[in-house]
Amino acid sequence: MSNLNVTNINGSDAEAGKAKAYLNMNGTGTIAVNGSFNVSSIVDVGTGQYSANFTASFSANTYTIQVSKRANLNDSNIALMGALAIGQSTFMSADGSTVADAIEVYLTAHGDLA
Amino acid sequence: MTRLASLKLYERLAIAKEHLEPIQSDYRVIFETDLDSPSSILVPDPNWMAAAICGGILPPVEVYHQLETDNQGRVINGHIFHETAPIGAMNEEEAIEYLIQKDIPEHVWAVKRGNAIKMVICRKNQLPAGREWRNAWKIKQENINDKNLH
Repeated sequence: MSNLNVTNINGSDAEAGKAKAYLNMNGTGTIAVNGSFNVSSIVDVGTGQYSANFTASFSANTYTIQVSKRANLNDSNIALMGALAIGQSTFMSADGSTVADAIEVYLTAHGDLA
Repeated sequence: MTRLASLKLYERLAIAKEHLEPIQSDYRVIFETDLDSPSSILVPDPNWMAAAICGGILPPVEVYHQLETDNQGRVINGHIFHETAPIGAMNEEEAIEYLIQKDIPEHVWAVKRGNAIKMVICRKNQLPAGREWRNAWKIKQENINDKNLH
């Protein structure tokens, strides 16, 4: 086992109000994580449908998720929340009324951790 | 000097994020939760993989299965995330096994029902590069052994 030693811990990152997880991911081709925190994996569920699994779970499914996606100005692109579970959230991307892959999807989560 | 094991899981993750270089795994896990849904593809998070390979940050995977909720869905024993000693360093393959048990529904990997293969571990380059007919993707049962995908 490796030891990771630190000399200072300034404050607590688990303060109420701070985002407890974030994700920036590619939603096309073989989906991939560009940047993240507190995410253990992402899942490509189908066209425009994804989920993110959290390493530190939320204490209840009353947390909030903000999902957005990269879009061109004239497109009718939207990103939608799906289901919330304590360790996972599911979300999707749509073009108008049709579920469609997103070039990039962005997610932040706020709430109390377990 | 602070021992990571004395910190809460979230704090350990924050320190790991600050100090460890993300590790992009080449592994992907394809799984099917039911007959009617297309195959899902699990992609490990690079920061999580770095924490798994470093060791001393993540809780044992059993902790996730031991979480209990009350009748309103609130976790009542979240302290086990923080009080259970973190597990040691894993190699990439062990980390993928951990992730399967953590992030894929238990009925996929723990219950053998019927002959159909419901889960395959493969390399990224073994997946289709495009997403044509994505909602029709299924594990091709007859190719599993031939192409040494698992």
